[in-house]
Amino acid sequence: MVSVIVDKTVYADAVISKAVYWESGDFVVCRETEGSIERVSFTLKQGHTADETSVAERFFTRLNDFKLQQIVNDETKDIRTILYVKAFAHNDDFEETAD
Amino acid sequence: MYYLLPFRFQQFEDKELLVNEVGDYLFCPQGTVSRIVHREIDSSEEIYQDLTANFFISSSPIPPLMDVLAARLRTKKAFLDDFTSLHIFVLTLRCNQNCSYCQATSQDEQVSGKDMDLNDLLKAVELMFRSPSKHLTMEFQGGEPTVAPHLVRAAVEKAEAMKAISDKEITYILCTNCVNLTEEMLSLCEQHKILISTSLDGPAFLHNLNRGKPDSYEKVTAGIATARERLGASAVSALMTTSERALSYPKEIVDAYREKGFRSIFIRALNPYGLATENHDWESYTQRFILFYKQILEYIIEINKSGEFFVEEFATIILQKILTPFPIGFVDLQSPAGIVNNVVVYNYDGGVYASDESRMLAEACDYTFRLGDITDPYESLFYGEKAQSFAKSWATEAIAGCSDCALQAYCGADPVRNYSTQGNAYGHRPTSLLCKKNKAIIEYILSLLKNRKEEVLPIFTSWIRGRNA
Repeated sequence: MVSVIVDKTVYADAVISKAVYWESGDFVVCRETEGSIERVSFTLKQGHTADETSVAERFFTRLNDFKLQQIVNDETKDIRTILYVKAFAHNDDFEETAD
Repeated sequence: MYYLLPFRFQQFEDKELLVNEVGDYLFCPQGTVSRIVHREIDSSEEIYQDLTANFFISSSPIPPLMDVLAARLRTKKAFLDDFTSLHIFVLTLRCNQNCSYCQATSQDEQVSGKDMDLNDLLKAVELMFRSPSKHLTMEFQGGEPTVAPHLVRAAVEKAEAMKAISDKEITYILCTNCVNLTEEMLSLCEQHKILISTSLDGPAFLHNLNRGKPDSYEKVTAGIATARERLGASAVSALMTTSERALSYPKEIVDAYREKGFRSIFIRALNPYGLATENHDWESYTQRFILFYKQILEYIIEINKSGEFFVEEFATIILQKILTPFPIGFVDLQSPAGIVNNVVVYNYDGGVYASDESRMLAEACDYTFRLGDITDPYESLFYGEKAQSFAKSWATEAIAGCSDCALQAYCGADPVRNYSTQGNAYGHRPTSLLCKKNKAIIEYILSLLKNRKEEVLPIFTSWIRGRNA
């Protein structure tokens, strides 16, 4: 089993969940929270042959990437909505009225 | 100061790959996304111009060319405009071959009770004409549809009669092994401009082994020659399916296609349906298929470099997504998924299914993706609760593992495959072999564009132009 400590003031819960998701193919992942600290433990699933020693490094790389992606997603949420409305709404729905 | 626009990214070899909402991509130095997010890119830097021009950042909260970006997004999703356009008619499950990898669970040619009822067939044609799409594709499948020629004729005649009083256009496709193209069938094809889509697995020894018949290759290639003579070369296309034994013969398969006068090949992996489910260790098969695909693609690139135009169709579909603003017509790589939105199947058993793979599941008594009966009203089939339930898992933009994937714009959702291999339509990307295969192939193509652009781009561009010609 490999355990890592994650500071939840640095990485949001959604970010940790996304990084955990991608390790859930080969590992049983256990998350334990104590205050602002989360211990994440990885146990190789039976019959799987993934390299256990590299999981910690890979996990933190994923955390950092997902954290950046989350910032992009949060900052662009509104512009993305506008983009989809402009692309797919009928123009008639947005005709300006006289008043 | 600049503003972010929606994009996704991933580490890619020694770079970062950034892909925006409409599929434009940039390879940037590692650490670029962090610099973008922390507003460390200076407007005097060359990369600032690249990021702005390609809609990754904007100098204003709403980019000046927002309408252009919106138009491009709409164009990328234009495959949704016409709703269901591909209508597959499984006229019979009977077949005159015995393929080891059969995904349709075909039955012996002599069995009874495996043909579509004529009344169901005529009703299904009426359902097809309820589709809002003006351009319908009517595809006849099996089994082997030519063993039930009366049903092919009845379907075409009914469709022609309805077409005459509608504003729709129809493309007919007959999916046949070409083993028994009778004069009656060729005459019908000639009269109604029916296209032939056949199946050729490569050289004779491989094709015959796959088909379980010692003379299959001879008959199929003779059938292809006859069909070309009667209908024209462009009316006949062929697909190959990569059986496990085919994985050892990448060059031989391509050369067999070239020798038979084909200018393209569609490298298709086996799908886990029908008899094919019994034959393979899928993890091992997928790993070997990825290697096989790369070998074939390299070989085809070398052929093109020597001056011979020869296309790999699957790569071309992905390249069209990467390099052009246009949508693709390939239902397996779309989001929202092709099921119901683009394709529907009227089956010999009287059922309407969400896709070809859905009816293959039904042969194992799994009716999860059966929309209803051919005799049901159009609205309940295409807009009913069952069709709506599929929507929960048919968009890559909204499912775990895909929603943040940098390759999302080039891939697609496949709830039926998820269901058949992972037990639920939503799926689990870390253990999905389809995800693994698609990612590996898309990354390989991007790697070629990154590292060997001058060498491959003219070839890839010619493939896209050839496909759209």
